[in-house]
Amino acid sequence: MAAGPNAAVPLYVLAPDKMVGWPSAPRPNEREFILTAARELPELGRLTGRGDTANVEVVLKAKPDLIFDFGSVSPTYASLAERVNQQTGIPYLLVDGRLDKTAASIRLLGSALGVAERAEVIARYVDETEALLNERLKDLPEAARKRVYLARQPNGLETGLTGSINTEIIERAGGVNVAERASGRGGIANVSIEQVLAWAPDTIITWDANFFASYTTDPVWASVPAVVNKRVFLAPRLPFGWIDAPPSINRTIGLRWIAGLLYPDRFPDDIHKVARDFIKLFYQVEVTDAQLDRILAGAQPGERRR
Amino acid sequence: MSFVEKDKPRKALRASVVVLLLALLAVALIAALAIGPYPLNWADVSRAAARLFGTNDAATSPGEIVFMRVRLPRVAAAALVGAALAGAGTAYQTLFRNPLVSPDILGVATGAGLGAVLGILLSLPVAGIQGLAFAGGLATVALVYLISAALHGHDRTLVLVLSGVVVGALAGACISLVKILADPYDQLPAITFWLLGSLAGVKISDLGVVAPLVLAGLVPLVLLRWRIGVLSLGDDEARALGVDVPRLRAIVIGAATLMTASVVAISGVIGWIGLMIPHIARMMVGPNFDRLLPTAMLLGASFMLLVDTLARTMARIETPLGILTAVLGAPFFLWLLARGRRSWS
Amino acid sequence: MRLAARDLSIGYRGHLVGSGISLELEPGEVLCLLGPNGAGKTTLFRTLLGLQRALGGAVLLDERPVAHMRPVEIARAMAYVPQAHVTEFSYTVLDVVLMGRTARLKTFASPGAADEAVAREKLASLGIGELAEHDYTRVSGGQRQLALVARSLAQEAPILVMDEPTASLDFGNQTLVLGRIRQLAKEGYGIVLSTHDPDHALLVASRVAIIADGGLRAVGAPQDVVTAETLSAIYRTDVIVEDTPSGRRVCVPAWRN
Repeated sequence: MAAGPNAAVPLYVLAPDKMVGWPSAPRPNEREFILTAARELPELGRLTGRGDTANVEVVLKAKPDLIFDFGSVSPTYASLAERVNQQTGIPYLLVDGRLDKTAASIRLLGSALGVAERAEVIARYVDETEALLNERLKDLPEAARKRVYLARQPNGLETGLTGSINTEIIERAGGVNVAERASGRGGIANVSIEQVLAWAPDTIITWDANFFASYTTDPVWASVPAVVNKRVFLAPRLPFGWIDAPPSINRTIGLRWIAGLLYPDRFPDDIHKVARDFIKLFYQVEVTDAQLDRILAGAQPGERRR
Repeated sequence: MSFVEKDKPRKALRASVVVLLLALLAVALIAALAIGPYPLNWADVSRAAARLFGTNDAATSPGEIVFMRVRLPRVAAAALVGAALAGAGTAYQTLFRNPLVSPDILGVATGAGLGAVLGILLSLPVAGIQGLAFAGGLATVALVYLISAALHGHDRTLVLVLSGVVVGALAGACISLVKILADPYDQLPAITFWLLGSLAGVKISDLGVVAPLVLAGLVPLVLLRWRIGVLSLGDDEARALGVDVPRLRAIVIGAATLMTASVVAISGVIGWIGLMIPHIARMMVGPNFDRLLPTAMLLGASFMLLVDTLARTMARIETPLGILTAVLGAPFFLWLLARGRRSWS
Repeated sequence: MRLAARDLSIGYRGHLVGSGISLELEPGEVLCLLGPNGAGKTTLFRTLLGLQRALGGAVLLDERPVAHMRPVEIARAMAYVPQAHVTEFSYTVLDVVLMGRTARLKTFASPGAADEAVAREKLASLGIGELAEHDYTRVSGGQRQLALVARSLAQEAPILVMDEPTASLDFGNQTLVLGRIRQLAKEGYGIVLSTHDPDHALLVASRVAIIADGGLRAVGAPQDVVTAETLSAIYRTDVIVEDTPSGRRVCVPAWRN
């Protein structure tokens, strides 16, 4: 079983038939993109991390052979893993979830679950994506880098600072996160609209539908260069968030998507095709054009806004 | 004996205190308008002013927009929030005859918090979150009032306070429950931040709704200021002096709740101001409600301006207001007490 | 303005303190209430003032039931001098006396210069005019009591209800207050007061009422009611009532120094 949403994604991707349940059940609009058999698995709750809701007895009742978590491997989480292991007697696997370690982590998980071949396929896709990014971005001059602001919450004033797990995808895709932090790795923070204006990002990415629907009516946001140039994009969230929610291997497609948004001349591939291939490979479902359009609503430049 | 006397010159001093506070507020307003991360210059301000008077038809510059739609509303909101919380705190302290009372004694801030976090949990747009917060605050106090009316107690004030404590605790528990149910990646940080207080997203339209509400709550407090002061003698004496105690109490609670709920809806939960500012005001002008109310409100507005300016300029990111009010206010208050001021009640 | 109690039952929910109480107070009268501790004097006063509901019977002001009157109407007719206490906030003595003007003010008004003049005058009439700007919570208990009396005067109500107004006063202030009470009665005020000292009743009262054992035991002229038998019965101690050579009547305990 997966200890949290972060771990649920790799587990589902690699070995959906080995899952005993979800940390949180898939939402109605996500279910159509998930394998039929996996859709009906029970909700077991989150074991660790913020807001652990799983009851240890529920876990024991589900009788998993292995508990798997994907994310931070800091001493805190390591000791939490040990505790659960001692409480339940079930083996606990904690794997580093950082973006740059994705391929290696997948291979590790694959061998632990006994699905090394599938893991190899997935890992190779990740490697290829990384190589593609490196290749096409390698001679990008600093001045040509796009300045991106990640808008969270309906008012758009919550963001991730540079280096945070929520925005590392932007930096990896070649963009510059305008929300710099003084030192170290950042987390989530709130800012004032004035600060956003002072940063003057040329691109805004959000996955909050409320913000996406309302920012055009706000005269203050209208002054932001990104809004002026109509470069505000709604990140897809189906079946798992493309850039976050959860910050796990589902972001692989997000990398391609963002890179395509920021540097369309270097990444001219049709995102529809890339997405369809990705979803088929990772999540093992076919998506129709209509479904793709729905997934990508608001995510492409030049789209007519409602 | 002189330490007990309050001699005639004090009266003149008290009048000048109000003038002083008005001047302080003016300075704070101007300073707050001038400070901010976006570089503004006088041209922007004068263009904005000219536009107000209809003598500017040129395209609106970004600087003007920042001034008129970002900084001005925010500064005005900070002053309004500070004044409203301080005023409500003063009214409650007088009503409950207790200088340790805060505007949240009947649970309005906790109830508003519950409304707001529910709104965040349900992924409502900003207006929805604010509306739920306002409704939550009012509903909580209404519930407290009804419960205390149903309970038969000799000391009405005590029954009210106890009901407020109980309902407030329930609301707090519900907030914690919502926190557990919320998405830890998406909603929980937002909830935590809202509960700490911030004016980052305030717009002119927000002020357009909140200012009249605060005024609506303020008017009865000002009109009835003498009788409210008489309430502080105790229910029996006030009644014997001719005050309709149950009715006046309901009016004061309604007015203070309206003021508090409407500002908490836009600013989140900001503690400490409603408790501390009336105290300081009392030290300056004495306990008479008709003097205390304007003094406290002016002080509250200036203090909030200071706090909010710090909140948005200390770092690139916003510092929650609730943290700053406590961090700044508590030591200052301690210092005042330590100086052994003669009367702090 | 006449105050009357008709067959009054007083007490709290579920607890009867006294019943069958009937009293009349005319303008210019001083009615003194005597009785042991716990007899219900304070409860009776609170009921008369409309601060608590009567359990039976009625309190009438000029034949109007107090239960049907608004607090401000009652306050214009009756002023209350409670036993002194400390307020939570440090008002000045003048502030406290000014609060007595509340019933005379319009709903949204605050006291003005005229009101302040009245307040100061009442303070002066009790000899504590110079305490006006002092902190009420810091003056002596007796001075607080005088301030409360001044407040009741500032209310300019024709009836005064005083709950042990001389309780914490020194001898000089006691006689001062009692003298003022007599004076006020002459000016037409109706005054009902309670006291622990039968001598005070003999000094100022035009009528005396004894309240004990859940009801009024006697009502009438002082010389008829304040007798050795009655006092000895209600206070459960031997008391002698005598006339002094100068023609005054006093009460003393039966034992001597």
